[in-house]
Amino acid sequence: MISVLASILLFIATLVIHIMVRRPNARSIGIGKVVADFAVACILAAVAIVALGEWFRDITPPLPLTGIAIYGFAAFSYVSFSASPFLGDESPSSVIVLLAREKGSMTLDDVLSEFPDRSIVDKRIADLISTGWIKRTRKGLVATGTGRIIAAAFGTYRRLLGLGETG
Amino acid sequence: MNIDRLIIIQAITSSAAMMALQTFVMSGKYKQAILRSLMAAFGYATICHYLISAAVLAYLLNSGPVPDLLPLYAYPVISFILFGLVCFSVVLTVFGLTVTSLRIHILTEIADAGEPGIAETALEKKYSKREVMVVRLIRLTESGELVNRGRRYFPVYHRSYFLLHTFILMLYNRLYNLPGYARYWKSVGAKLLTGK
Repeated sequence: MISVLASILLFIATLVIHIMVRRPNARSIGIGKVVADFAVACILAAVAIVALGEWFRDITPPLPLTGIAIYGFAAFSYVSFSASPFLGDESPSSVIVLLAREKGSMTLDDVLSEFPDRSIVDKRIADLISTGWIKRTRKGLVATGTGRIIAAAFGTYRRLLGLGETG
Repeated sequence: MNIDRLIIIQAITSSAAMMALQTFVMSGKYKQAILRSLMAAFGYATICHYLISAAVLAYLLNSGPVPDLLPLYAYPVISFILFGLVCFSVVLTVFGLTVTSLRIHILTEIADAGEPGIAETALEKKYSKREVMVVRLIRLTESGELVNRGRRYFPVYHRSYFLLHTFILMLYNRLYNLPGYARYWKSVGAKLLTGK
C-alpha cells in the first residue's frame, strides 16, 4: 500500500518540480528534453518506491510492481499529452471551438483565416522528416522502414475502427 | 498468490477489454463523437473490471489463508487506478494518434504511395486547409459542440469532455508559459468549465 501512495505523491511532486524548473525556458527545450526528464524521474521514483515498500514492510505489505507501474504509466501519459504543446501544435478542433465561443458564431472562411495557408501540412512533413519516418527524394516524399511499420500499424487499427481518410 | 502481479495482470486485461469495446462502440453510432465513445467504452470496461475484481476476490478468499489482508481489500481500488492510467496512456498514444493525428494520416499516405513516393504538392492539395477544416467542422457539429445554421456555425454552451480536454490543453500551455491558445485565455479560458 505504501508503494502505491508513494508513487502517487512522487508523481505529483515530479510534476510540480518539472513545471517550476522547465517553465522559464519551456519554449526552447522541445519534447526530447521532457521525455529525458521523465525517464530519469521514473528511475529515481522506482528506487524510492521499492525502498519505501521495504522500509514499511512490517506495517503494510509492499506492492513494488504496482507502485512502479502506476508511476510509469502516469509519467508516460503526461509525456504523451505534452508532445503536442511542446511541438508547438494547437489542436485545430479546439481552436475552432474557441473561435466560435469568442466570436459568438463564425463561417468556414472565418475558420480558414485563423490558420496560416501552408503551415498545416508543411510543419507536419518537417516533423516526420526530422523523426526519420519519411525522407525527401528527387521524386517526392518516401516512407523509411520505420515509417512503413508505424503506418501499417496505425492503418490496421484505423480500418478496425472503420474510419475514413482525412484526419 | 502474489497480489502485486495480480493487480497488474487485471489492469492490463481490463484495458484490453476497454480497447476492444472502444473498437465496437466506435464502429457504431458514436463514430463522430470520439470522446463520448471513449467514455462509453471506459464505462463498460469499468463494469467488467469490477466484475472480474469481485470474482478474483471471491477466489482468493476461498482458496485458503490470505497473507496480505490490506492489499486484498484495497485490490479493486488500486487495480482500478492502474487500469485507468493504462487506458489513458493507450488512448493518448494509440487511439488519439490513429483517429485525429494529421501527421499519422500524412505518414500513411506516403507509405501507401510506395517507392516512387508522393509529391508534396499532391499532399498539400489533398490535405488542404479547407479540406482539413471542413472535416473538423463536420465532426464538431455531429459531436454536438457546434450547431450549423446556413453558412454559420454557433457554439453549443454546455459542459463536455471535449471542452474539458481543451481547457486542460490551455492550462497546460499556460503553466509552462507555452504560446499555444494564449490569445483565447482571457476571452474564453475559464468559461469552458462553466459551460457558459
